[in-house]
Amino acid sequence: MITFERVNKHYGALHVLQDINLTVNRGEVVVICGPSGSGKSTLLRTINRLEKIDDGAIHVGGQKIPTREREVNRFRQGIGFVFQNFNLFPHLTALENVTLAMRQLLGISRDDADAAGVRLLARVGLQEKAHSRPDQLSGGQQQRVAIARALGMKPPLILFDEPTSALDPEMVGEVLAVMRELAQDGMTMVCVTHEMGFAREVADRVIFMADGAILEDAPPEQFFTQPNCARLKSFLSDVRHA
Amino acid sequence: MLEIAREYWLQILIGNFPHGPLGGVALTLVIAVAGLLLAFPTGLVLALGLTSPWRSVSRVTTGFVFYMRSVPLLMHLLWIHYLVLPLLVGHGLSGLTSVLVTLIIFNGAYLSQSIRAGMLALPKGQYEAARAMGFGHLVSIRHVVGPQALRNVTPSIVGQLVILIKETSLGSLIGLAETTQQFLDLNDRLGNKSLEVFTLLALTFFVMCYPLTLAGRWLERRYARPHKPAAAPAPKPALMTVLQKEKA
Repeated sequence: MITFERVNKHYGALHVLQDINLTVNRGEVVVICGPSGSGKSTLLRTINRLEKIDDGAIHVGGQKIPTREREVNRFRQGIGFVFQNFNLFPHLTALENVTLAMRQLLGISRDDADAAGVRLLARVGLQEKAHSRPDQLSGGQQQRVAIARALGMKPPLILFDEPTSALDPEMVGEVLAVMRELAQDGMTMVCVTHEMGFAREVADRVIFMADGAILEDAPPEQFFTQPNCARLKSFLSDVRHA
Repeated sequence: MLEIAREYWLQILIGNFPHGPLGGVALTLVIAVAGLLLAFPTGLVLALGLTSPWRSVSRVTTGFVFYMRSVPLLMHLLWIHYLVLPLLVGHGLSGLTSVLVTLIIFNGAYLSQSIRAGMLALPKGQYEAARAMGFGHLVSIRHVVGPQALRNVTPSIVGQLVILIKETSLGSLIGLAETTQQFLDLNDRLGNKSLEVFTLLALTFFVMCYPLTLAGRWLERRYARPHKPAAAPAPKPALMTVLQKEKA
């Protein structure tokens, strides 16, 4: 589904992605973790070209990521993206947030889009909030609407950039529950997150990044019980004690 | 002063109309409203230019807006009336056309700066979320950035209307029969009454502008307040009863 071949990226003198090689298979759930500044969000954002790369190649769904503006727009329609800060559109209702792309990009009529939107909101347990505006929703509810919005274009792949980091602790569970259901439905997911419980339970593979490089890439069982590199060992003990 | 107002109120309000072209306060208001209605789309287009991802477009627009804001309005008016428009269309145009064109471009430049500021004030994630969904630059502006930015700059658009009303007075310099011109006529005709005449002129502009200033202030206060939730969060009677029971 996704392959990285020797991908490099610099921010000025900072080498944020160093020779990244990575494959994510269809239907896989891959969790990326690591200390802040390790490049994990940057890595995620290169997949839908929110960040450009300096060299190497990334293929998504067998297609090399396009560079021309118009093709990039079309390419991004096939990838859901969920942000840390939800980024719901505050001037639109929850339902309008979910249906905006369907109506504008796919040309679906308002009635059909609304019907599909209500179904998506029901899937994240928020059909009764369809006509609420984002500032009338809790953080957890907003993030669930954001997930419904990402599902609107029926993407085969969804990227999550620290989806629970901006949430109050009591709201983390509801968002993770929605993500867990998506994973069970066979969605291909790449999640940058520090939720180690989620990683252990849902992920097919867990990746550890530090200083722009992938240091560990293993199934969760092995990742948590027999970490290879020293950086990961100390990271895991830090996370456990947090 | 009151006698002047009582004697000449009709001239002040509409000039020589219907025996001549519309003038006075009516003309001032027509110019101001038409000016704003056309300056607004001009400002939108310029704001799109200022924020364009194409560097050549944003550079040219920035230079143009910078020029418009760095030169006195009066100079623009004289320049456009005596040089630019005659060169463009081959003959001189009426003072009304020149004033309108000048005010539209000049205020469009100012509005574009407000609109641009309103766009930049939004969280970066809004535009990014739209682009991540597959919207192009302009579609993202149209559906996500624009509506929010315009809401934020509505008060300053009203403020711009107040400024526009006052700027129409420059029309008197190229013979436009607007409010100020009517008072200049009265000043000539009545002689020796300058204090009364020009005090009345100031009052006339005050009456036109002050309500709008108040409206702008009201809008600003309204938009400064965050969106009110439809229903206040319900109190928690369940918890309260539990606590009371525990006490008892």
